Amino acid sequence: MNQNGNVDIEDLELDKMFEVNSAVAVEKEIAADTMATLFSATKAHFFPYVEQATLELVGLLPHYYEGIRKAATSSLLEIIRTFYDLSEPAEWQPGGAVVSGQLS
Amino acid sequence: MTLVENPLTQRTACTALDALLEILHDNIDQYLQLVMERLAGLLETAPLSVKAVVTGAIGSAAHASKENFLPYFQPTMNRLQHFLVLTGEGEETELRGITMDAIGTFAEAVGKDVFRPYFPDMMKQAFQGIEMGNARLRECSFLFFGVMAGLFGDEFAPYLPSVLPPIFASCRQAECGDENDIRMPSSFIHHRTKLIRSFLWQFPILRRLFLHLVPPAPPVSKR
Repeated sequence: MNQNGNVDIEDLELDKMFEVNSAVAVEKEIAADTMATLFSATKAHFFPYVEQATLELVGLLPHYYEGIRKAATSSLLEIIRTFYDLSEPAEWQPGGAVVSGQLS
Repeated sequence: MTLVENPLTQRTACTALDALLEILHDNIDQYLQLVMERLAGLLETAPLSVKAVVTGAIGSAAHASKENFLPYFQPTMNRLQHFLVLTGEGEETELRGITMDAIGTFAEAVGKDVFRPYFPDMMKQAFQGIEMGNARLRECSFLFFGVMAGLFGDEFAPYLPSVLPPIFASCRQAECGDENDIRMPSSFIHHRTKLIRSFLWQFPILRRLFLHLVPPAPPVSKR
């Protein structure tokens, strides 16, 4: 390769390097979001997949792209929330009288 | 609206229109007919790159107008369906993805009962989008699944066994095409990837400069 060719290769390598991350990273971000959306939409039908989905999401938590970390975190919280909804929780009632001095 | 007709300005004009429609909410009602007439015409005549923007703008119009979009739903679906079978690279991929997004938006606007006749077919298109080997198309399909699940709830359940494997696979895929090819100082790429990338791509000169600052790790061995 001549000099020009050399520059082209460098450009190409650099392009490829950046191409790498964004498209696939955004895809993963959406994939993480989608798992929680599916669970909260299909409820009990999702049970066979919920464990694997949770594991995948936990696996994404240390990811270097903050969009993925955020998506994975909020999806995990959404999974917890959906489980709570499915547990047919009793309506929350204010109560639990605070007795002063109890916390001394 | 005249800018939308002029080939020189239509792409930019539609982008602006898209942004405007997105925030118009109820105020869109008085403009909806005009907007839809013009945009529907462009779907037939405009070049591919403009069609993508037009499709996005129609999606925004549907989002803003909600059930008032109903009269336009079926004619628009008939026009857009052709875009879902595009298999080319670049602009065709972009148009196909945007169309998928827009159809999801339509479904939310018109409600599940009106959309139901299209549901199985569109799911099939979404699965085909996953097969295309393109990250952007996979992303659009996943989004579409989310929208459909939200809309159809239990009715979506039969699709779960085929929807989840690709999603799990997506989470696990490597992000570097050829891992052994390039090792960059990772701290450098890791942050603000998108930012740096879009910058470099806009200005070739910066790209060169960057190369001088951070030379490709192992001396570029030829392929």
